[in-house]
Amino acid sequence: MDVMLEVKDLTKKFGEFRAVDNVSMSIERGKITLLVGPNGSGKTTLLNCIIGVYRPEYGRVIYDNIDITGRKPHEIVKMGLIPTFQIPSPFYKLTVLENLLLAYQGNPGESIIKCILKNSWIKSESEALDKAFRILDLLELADSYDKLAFTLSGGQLKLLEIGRALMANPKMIVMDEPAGSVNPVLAHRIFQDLRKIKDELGVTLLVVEHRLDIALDYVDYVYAMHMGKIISQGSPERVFNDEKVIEAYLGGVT
Amino acid sequence: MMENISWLLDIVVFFAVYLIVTLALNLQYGYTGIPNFGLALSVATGAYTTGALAGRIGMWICGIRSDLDYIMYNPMITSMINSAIRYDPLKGLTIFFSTIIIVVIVSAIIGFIASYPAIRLRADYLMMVLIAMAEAARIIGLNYTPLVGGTTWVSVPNVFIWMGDMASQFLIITILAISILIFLFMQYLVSSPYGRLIKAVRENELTAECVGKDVVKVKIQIMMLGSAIAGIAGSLWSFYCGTVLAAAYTRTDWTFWPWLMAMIGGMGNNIGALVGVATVIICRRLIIYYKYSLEAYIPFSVVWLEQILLALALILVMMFRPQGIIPEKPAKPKIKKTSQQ
Ligand SMILES: Nc1ncnc2c1ncn2[C@@H]1O[C@H](COP(=O)(O)OP(=O)(O)O)[C@@H](O)[C@H]1O
Ligand SMILES: [Mg+2]
Repeated sequence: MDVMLEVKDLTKKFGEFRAVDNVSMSIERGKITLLVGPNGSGKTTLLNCIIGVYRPEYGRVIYDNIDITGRKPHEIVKMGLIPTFQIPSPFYKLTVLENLLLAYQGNPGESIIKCILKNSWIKSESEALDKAFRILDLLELADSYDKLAFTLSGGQLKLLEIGRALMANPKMIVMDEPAGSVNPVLAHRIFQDLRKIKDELGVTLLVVEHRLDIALDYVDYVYAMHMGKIISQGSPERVFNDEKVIEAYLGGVT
Repeated sequence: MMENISWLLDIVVFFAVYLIVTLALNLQYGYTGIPNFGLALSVATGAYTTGALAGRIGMWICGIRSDLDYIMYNPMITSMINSAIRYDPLKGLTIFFSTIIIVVIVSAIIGFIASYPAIRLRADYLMMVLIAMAEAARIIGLNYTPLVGGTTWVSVPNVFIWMGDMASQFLIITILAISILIFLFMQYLVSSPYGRLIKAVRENELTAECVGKDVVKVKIQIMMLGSAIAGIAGSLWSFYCGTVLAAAYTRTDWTFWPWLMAMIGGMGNNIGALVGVATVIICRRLIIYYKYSLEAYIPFSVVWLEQILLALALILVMMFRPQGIIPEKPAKPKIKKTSQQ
């Protein structure tokens, strides 16, 4: 198996509480891997450890054969591993277009020195604009390009999160509930889009979703998490029929 | 007639110097979200550096005996420098510009040192550290006499004395020109991709990190750039006053006034800063001019009228127009048309 991301024996504690407890997983390159689990099972915390927002107490994160444990998010992003958030976190008072342009990597105009020399960045800026409008078209957000981000609807904000990740030259995207808290119709559309994006760009995806049924048809491999631990892994059919997984979900309800 | 003109010129200097300080604050807080409540630190750094160095540079350039104690013989040294440059514009300009260049460097370094310990922490901790640093600077200025004479003042050479009668007018025009240049530079900076980057840092540091921006680095850069600019204001003000008095660099004059100006005008936009500075200065002048004619009607000493009315103005702005007179405008893509074809 061609491994893109490997998590080894990872533990993250809040006080004495182990939100992520000795988790190991291997994400295959060019595939969509799903991470499911009821609310509070530690999925977001695990992602935050992968992308450098949290520093885990134990364990390692290996991305593309490089140990990235404890690196800062901006360093990890520059290596092509891009996160999107469960709660959309755009730059609220900037326009949709600016939100995307900011995710473009390597614009010399973002240097405090070179920004003064327009010639040094104008080419990069117009490439970024082209790319941004292609992504806006793909996500059907092009009409809103000059709207401030805080005026968008919840579903549009979810799309903007995805757009931002696409803008950033991803080799791999880790998405925290990209279809969370949107209606099932839009949720299916988002997963179809992700599938399409993956095929076109060849990116690797690690996607979190807490509803079992929605993602079933779109993913290649599944990890199920419960109370900080991986309780099942394998093909979608296998995991979704696993007694332990069903029990974890039923248990979560009571 | 002459009196009216000098009254006007005085307002012009005030406007120019406060515009520079307010632009620096607007860069740090309005655009980048760093609440610099230690703004007076940078202005004081600029002023103290000018007080300590302009004369010493002058001594060196004009070949004045360097064994004289700079603070003790300060008035004499200054008049020796002034007479040496009376017919030598080159020396005068060299003192002026080399001092400002050193001020820029020193202020940037002090801005770095002052913010470094807390730049990674939440904004409110950084704010407290900066307040403390500004107070510390004033106490050092007051007590470490070799700097600017402690509780007495040092004088600054009249670097345009070779202009004769027009020296002071010429200095004022130079100060105004520098402030306009800084304004244009700021406008250019904030409309570049770097300007977009600093707004992103203001809006959401975590998201900025997660699109690959080194947030700590950007904040340090802006602290240094803003401090350097505020330092220039302190330096120009010292050249205008002809003296540097350590005690004059109070938080009221050089932190709170600029905050008031920036908030009234509108944060996150340089035109707002300009309007805010003009509004506050004009209001202050009008109050100062008319307050004694109101003496009979108000129940407290008119001395306080200025502070009370401006505090009231701030409260009203915060209640009814928190975005200021001129709110921030969303940026328009400049090259959208060409790129879409
Ligand atoms: N910053 C935090 N401090 C303390 N506890 C936390 C923190 N973040 C998450 N938790 C706890 O860790 C557990 C896992 O949370 P989370 O990773 O958000 O779960 P999920 O994303 O699977 O819903 C929850 O019990 C939550 O209350
Ligand atoms: Mg979560």
